[in-house]
Amino acid sequence: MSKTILVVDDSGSFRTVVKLALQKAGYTVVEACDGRDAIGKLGANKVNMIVCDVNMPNMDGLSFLRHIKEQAAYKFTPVIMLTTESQDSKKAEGRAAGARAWITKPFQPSQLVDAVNRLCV
Amino acid sequence: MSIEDIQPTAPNAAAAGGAPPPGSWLRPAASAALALGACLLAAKGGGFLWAGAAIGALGCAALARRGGATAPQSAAAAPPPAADEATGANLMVQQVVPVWRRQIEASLQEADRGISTLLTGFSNLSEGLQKAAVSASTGSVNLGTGAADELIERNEQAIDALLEPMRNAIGLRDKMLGQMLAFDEELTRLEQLAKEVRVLSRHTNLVALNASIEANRAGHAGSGAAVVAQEVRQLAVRSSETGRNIASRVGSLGRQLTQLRNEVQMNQGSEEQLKLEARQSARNVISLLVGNLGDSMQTTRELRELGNSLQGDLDSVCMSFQFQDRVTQMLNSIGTDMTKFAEWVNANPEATHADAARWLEDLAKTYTMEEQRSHHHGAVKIDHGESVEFF
Repeated sequence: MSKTILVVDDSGSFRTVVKLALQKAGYTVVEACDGRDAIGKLGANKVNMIVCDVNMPNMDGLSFLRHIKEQAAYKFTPVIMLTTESQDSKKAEGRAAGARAWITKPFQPSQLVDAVNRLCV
Repeated sequence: MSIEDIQPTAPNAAAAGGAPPPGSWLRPAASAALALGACLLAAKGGGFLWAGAAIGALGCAALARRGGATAPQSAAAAPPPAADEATGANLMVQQVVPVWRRQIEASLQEADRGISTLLTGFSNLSEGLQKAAVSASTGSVNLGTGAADELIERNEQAIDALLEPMRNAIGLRDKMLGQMLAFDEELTRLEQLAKEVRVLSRHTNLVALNASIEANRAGHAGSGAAVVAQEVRQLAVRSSETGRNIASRVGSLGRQLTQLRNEVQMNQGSEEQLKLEARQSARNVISLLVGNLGDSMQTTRELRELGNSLQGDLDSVCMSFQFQDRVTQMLNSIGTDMTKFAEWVNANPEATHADAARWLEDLAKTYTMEEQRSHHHGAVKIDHGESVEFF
């Protein structure tokens, strides 16, 4: 049975790009348009990994990350931040909040798949 | 970032087609409009730069209105006046900026929808190519040297089954030859019987001749016997002719039968020889088929390679579509700043160069991408380093 990855991004077209890359690698993808939507999707799906944007409406990626890491169910769920943010201060925030990797857009689909394969065990 | 939560702050009479309100703002607004037009022309040709130019134009307009060097209050400190209190360039800003915002938002949504549709189309293409490549791979067979012999060995039983009707035909032929031999023997016996008939006729003729001589010797008393002897002689002659005819016919039949048997025996081959010939024929046919199949496989291989190549191109296309997300972020950032700027101008009709510098500094802090920071300072070359960083 394939592993499920939650992709959180407010851009529908970008979610499609990520979804295509991950589905081709054999993963099942669940989509969410922001942090709040992602919390709802986590309740309805068993997720093995999360790929999350940072700048989003309603609830941004770092707030979402801190929120789920406070819960025992997702404490060890690997999270990759996939964002246009490239500032070291933001990366440090992500790392402190529990992110396992930081990918700066634009990205190569193969880079994302490699990172997911490495962390999604 | 999204711009959905930001609402226009002023009524939109100009956008709704209403006439510009009369009043004292017209004169100072003229200089603002000129500055705006100049800035827009300067920004011509850049996709999202027009929005940046718009902000610049608004800045120009605000600064154009200013006569003194009074330091403006912060936007948070001074609540904006109601729309009906706004005048001059402030009124323009309040009415124009929301329209620009709505246009930006509509363009972004349109672009996002279009790109999602394109991506779905490319995804379907990609999936189809993958299926075709997999199908072509699984259907391949080894067509190297000796492929024909290998196929013959593998299909020995099938080839043997092909020989079955010929084997049956050979059996029938052998049976027929046996019957021909038996018939020939019967003909030989008939020929013998025909000779015996001729011998008997000759003897009967001699007997009839003797009887005729004896009847002549007996004179008038033997005249009746002479007639009978004459009749017997004629019968003997006819019997002899009939025997000769029978022998002749039987001889003719025998010769035809011998010729027929010889012809059949000339074409008679052993089953082993037949099998060898069948294998050779099968090899020829299979070699021909393998050759044609090889050509077909070559074409399939080329198609598969083309499919893989196209697959790479499609991946590149998908990668390129990420520009949409980046453009969205840039325009959202500009849109948010436009709204903030409109509110600020409304609350601070007088602005200084220091205000502009402070504003740009605050704007730079909102950027998330290196491109935004670089463009802000007029640089365009962006060097993307390693994009994946593990913690």
